[in-house]
Amino acid sequence: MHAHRAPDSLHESQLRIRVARVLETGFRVAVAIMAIGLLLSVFKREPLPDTMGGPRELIAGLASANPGSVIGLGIIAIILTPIASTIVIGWTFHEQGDRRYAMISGLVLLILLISIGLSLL
Amino acid sequence: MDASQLVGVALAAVFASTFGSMLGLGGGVFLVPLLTLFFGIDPRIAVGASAVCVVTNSVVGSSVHIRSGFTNLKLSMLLQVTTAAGAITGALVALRVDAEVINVVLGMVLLYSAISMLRQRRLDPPAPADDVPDPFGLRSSYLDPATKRVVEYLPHRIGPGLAISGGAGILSGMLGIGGGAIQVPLMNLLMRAPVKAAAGTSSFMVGMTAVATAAVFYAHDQIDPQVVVPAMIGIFCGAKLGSQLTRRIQTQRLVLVFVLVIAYLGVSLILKALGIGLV
Repeated sequence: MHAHRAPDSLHESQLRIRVARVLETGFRVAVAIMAIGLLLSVFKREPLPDTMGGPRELIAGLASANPGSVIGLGIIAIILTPIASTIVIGWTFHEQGDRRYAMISGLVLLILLISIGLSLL
Repeated sequence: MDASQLVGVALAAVFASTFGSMLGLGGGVFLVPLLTLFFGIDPRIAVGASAVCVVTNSVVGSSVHIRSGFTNLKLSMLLQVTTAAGAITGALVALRVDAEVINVVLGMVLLYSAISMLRQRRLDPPAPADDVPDPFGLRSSYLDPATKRVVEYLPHRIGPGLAISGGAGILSGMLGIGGGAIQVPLMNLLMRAPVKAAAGTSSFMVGMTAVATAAVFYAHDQIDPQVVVPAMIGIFCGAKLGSQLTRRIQTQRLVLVFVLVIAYLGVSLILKALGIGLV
């Protein structure tokens, strides 16, 4: 251990800032969507549903501004945020010329997408 | 749910996510029993809500850990390859293996990890010399606000780390847990990463692992917005609080809290397999 601040490489700082921003933005977007859903629920005097429904129900609900569907979209937004952060990590490594970690991040993304695909079967 | 229950769920989520974020766990291990025991929520709905909350906890807590420099993003990507692959394997074979056997094995692994962490007390390993080879480019450092010192470290034993991380992924897939209770001791004891770096890296990883679990529960229509919405509000407060506590708490205390939590989890898993429930 040293008593001074260790030099943080520019590449590492850039990566950290980007990933932190993606995570913060993903959460804010999800919360904003869910807040709209809650407001719709109050204005329309419709209680929150106890299920999210499938993708088709969700899309149909969004078309009719159904509060439960809007909240469901917010929940999906938060679930997708780690996927978005993985894409940004891979892209940033690619931009920085770090081919090895760009490929590792791509592999992680592929495995995550396969696992989601298998889950939804 | 009435207003008092909504507030109660939010408070339970604050508690679960504070410890989850502070220790690099998902928080689901605390939230599920709280929701089922105190609010009478169906266990499947509780686990579905927990999966969404683990992702939320990771998203909120990791952003703080990453900005603090605790999260080693290269290490997280490297270990996530085998963890995610292991989680798929675990989910596919889950139905063919006796759940009680898995619980006993995991419980013993957690107890062993707790005892090892307590005995070895590998708090902040000595800074690696500049000439130590770093073939994976994993050398990193962070400023520990609790001691005002920079902690430099270089994760070791990458091969065994990847293998055990794959095992942690298999258990995650089988049991539906995030895997942080295994990843943190793995990174600290085997790979010589400081506890705060291990917790920060694990906190980011459990979110990615929980995405697939959340997708399963969405596909089976077991995510209840009436539970998830108040829980997410609580998670937001708790994750921020937990990640701030990680910054300020002395590493020795963090290790002690972690050891107590994983020892409790280990004992409760073994007792559960024996038909004796702690909670």
